[in-house]
Parts: sequence; structure tokens; C-alpha cells
Amino acid sequence: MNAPSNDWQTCFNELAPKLVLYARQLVDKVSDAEDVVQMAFVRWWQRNPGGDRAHVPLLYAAVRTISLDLRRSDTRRANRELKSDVAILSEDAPHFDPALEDRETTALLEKAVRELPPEQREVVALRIWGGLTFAEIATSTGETINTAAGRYRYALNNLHRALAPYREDFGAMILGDAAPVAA
Amino acid sequence: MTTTHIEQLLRSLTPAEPSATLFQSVAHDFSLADKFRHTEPLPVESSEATRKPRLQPLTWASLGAAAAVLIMSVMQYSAHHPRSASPSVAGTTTASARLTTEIPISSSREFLKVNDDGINFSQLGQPERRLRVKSIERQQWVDPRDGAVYIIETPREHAIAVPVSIQ
Repeated sequence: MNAPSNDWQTCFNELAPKLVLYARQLVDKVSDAEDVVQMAFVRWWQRNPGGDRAHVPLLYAAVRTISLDLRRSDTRRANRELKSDVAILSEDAPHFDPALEDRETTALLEKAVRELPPEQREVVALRIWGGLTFAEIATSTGETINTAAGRYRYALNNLHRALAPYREDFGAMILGDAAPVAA
Repeated sequence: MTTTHIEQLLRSLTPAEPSATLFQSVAHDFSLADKFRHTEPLPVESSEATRKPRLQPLTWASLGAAAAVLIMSVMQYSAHHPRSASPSVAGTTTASARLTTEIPISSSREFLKVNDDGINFSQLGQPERRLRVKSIERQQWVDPRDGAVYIIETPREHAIAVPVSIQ
């Protein structure tokens, strides 16, 4: 597919927030997550110059692989923090852009997501914000489809339990933001 | 609150925008990649240019030595075996004399292969790309008396030096 060379910007702007969010489930710091996304996106785009959306699962797989490599080595992270102002972002930087009226509920939800076991958090990030199917998640993570679906189900159950005390707070958010979806 | 509600809640969250530095870093990577793509042949030429001249004197010396040995061998062979006494040479002479009576009908050359020996420096210090062209030269004759066609194929190898400029 032939595409103008600046098409990567459109594709990047669309995917980068989701990719960084996913990478943050795998590495500790924002600066590391952005490093990972930088490397993964550049490699992916060079192999897939049109930015074909059918190959997005490969991009998530690349993010995962690079994240795991990065976790094994602390050297690169130390260098990056020394030379870049990105280092001022701490690992406590919010994962989401909260709407003004929902700032508190967003914080509650984000905290609940962060407290999920890492493997469940990863599947939730890929499924909800990455928009991947369970088959694609299985390919990206190297697990079976059943494992991916099971982790997702456990994650939702855990979130349900964690957020139950705040049901009243989330009721307005649900009604205000989205129409109910049949179970 | 059901799991569907939980999914709705999660989908209502918008992932935070990455820092501007990330965008700049990616743009920098792409511009570097573009730069390398446009200047890709240069490192190959420069590496050859640094490697070949060192071998060049040795190559020419070897060729010269081989030619000298060959000439000496032919001279010794000619001294011990006079041409007139050799039946094979006489046979060849007869055949070539016979060919002079035939009518040439075509002459063609088929190019087989071009070997790129890379960039070298000439004796004047000018860079040049050396190519070795292998071909087969075909010449055909026909004998008007009986219509027989004679074909002689001669393998050829030419060395060509094409001037290049390195910027």
C-alpha cells in the first residue's frame, strides 16, 4: 500500500494513547512505556508502511515483546531519565484523561484497574482500549483464547467487587455517558 | 452493576495522551530512517573504496607473474616442438583454410553475465566502477557447395571501467 510519508502521524495520533496505556501495564514508568511505544511503532510502520489496521495486533505484540525485554534491563531506563524531561513524569501519572465532572469516579475506576493482577490488567487493556478480539489477544500474549477470555472474565468480576461500594457514584456516569447494553 | 456496566465504565475512560516528546522522538526516528534510505549506496562505495586499493597492486602483480610464466612455458614448448611437425596444428590450419572458402552469414554476441567488481581507484587516482562482462560471440558460415552451416562460438570476457563520482 502506497501512502504519503506523513500518514504515520495520523495513525500514531490515533494509536499512541492506547499503546502507551498498554505499555504502562507492562513496565513501571511512563518514560519506559513511551520508549517502548516509540520503538514498537517505528518498527511496525517500517514493515507496514500503510498502517494497515489489520496488523494492529502485531503492533501490540511488539509493544509486549519490547516491554518484557526492557523490564529485564534497567540500564536503558536510567539513561533515558538522565537525558530527558520525560523523566519528570512519575509512575503515578494518570492513565486516563478524566472529564472534569467525572474526575473522582475516573480516579476510583483507575485505582481499581491498577489493583488488578498484571495478567488480568493486560487483557483488559488490550480488549477495552486496544479493541482486540480474544483471538488477537491470544496471539499477542502467546496464550490460548480460553486463557485470555478467562482472565478478562476474572478481571471484570474483580472490578465488580472492587467498585460495588461506589455503585451510586458510577450509576450517574453510566447513564450519562453511554446507553445500557444488553448483557 | 453488571459486568456489562463495568465494560461501559471502562470504555468511557479515554487513555491519557502521551507526551509531546514521544511524538518528536518517533518523528526523529523516521527522519533518520529516510536519511539512511537516501544515502544507502554511499557506505557500500566507501567501504569498497577503502578495501580495494589495498589489494589492487597485489592483483596486478599476480596477473603479471602468471602471464610471464605462461609466455615462458609457450616459448619452451615451441623450442622443443617445431610447428610443422605437429599434426594437430597442421589440422587446425587446414580447417581454417577451408573456412575461408565459406560464406559468413551472421555474427552475434550473447551476453551471459555482468560481474560488478565494485569501486576501484585508477592509476590516476580517479574512482571508477569495474565491470566484467562475459559473453559468447557466435559466427556462422555456410558452405555454398553443400549448404553445411559452420558455427564457431568464442567465449569472451571484457573488463570495463566506468568513471563514477563520489560526493
